[in-house]
Amino acid sequence: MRSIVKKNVHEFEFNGELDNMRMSSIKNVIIQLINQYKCECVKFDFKDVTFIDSTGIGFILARYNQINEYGGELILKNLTPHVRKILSISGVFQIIRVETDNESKGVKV
Amino acid sequence: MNEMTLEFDALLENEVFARTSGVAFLLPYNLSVDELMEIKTILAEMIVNSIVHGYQNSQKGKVVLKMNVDNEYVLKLSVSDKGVGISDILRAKEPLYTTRKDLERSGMGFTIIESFSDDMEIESIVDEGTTITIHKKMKFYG
Repeated sequence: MRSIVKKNVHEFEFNGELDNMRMSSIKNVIIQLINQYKCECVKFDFKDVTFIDSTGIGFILARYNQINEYGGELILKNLTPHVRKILSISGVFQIIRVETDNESKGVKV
Repeated sequence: MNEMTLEFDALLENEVFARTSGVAFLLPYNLSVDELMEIKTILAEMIVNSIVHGYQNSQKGKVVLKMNVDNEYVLKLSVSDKGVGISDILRAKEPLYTTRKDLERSGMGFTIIESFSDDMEIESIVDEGTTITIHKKMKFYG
């Protein structure tokens, strides 16, 4: 997991299998980092994520609430087919925005 | 008929072992990546349920994973524990319902299991334990 802060954007890059064990080992660090910078925009990048389950969904929803509380926005990006499927079943897209390819390439839409 | 049983301690670190073993058992059937990912997710949800809810993260107790594939390529998969059991099964199946908001559980486990399988059965007795069983017809590419 990598965390990069640029201007007012805080980006987290996740990789590998985001399972129960993994989430419990990185959860507190991420909570702390988000609170430390309180950026207007927090992005979760799933480019290298090969697995996610309901533990990951719980984590995403809890961070959405955490970021919302101080007035920031959580944006998800680079969803792999598996991640997209699990998030879609869970209704995550009804409340959390996903960055489009155009946006990530810097094209204005 | 091809069958396997795996019994392991209800430790967090054994979830990845059991999930991966379950997927490895199915490798000879040449499933698509999509199907394998669905089964892998079902396995993760069921095993985490037993460890986190059944045994309340106590790191005590055993979880039993059973898988079999019949001649029609129907997979039967069950996970059993002797944990606290589920007092209200209908409630537990509701999307977003969870007894452990404190642990940031999403309450989506059963919804995910159900949507990736053909049918799901929950047998549970309070203070005695829970067995979840699913069936899933596999596409055989061999």
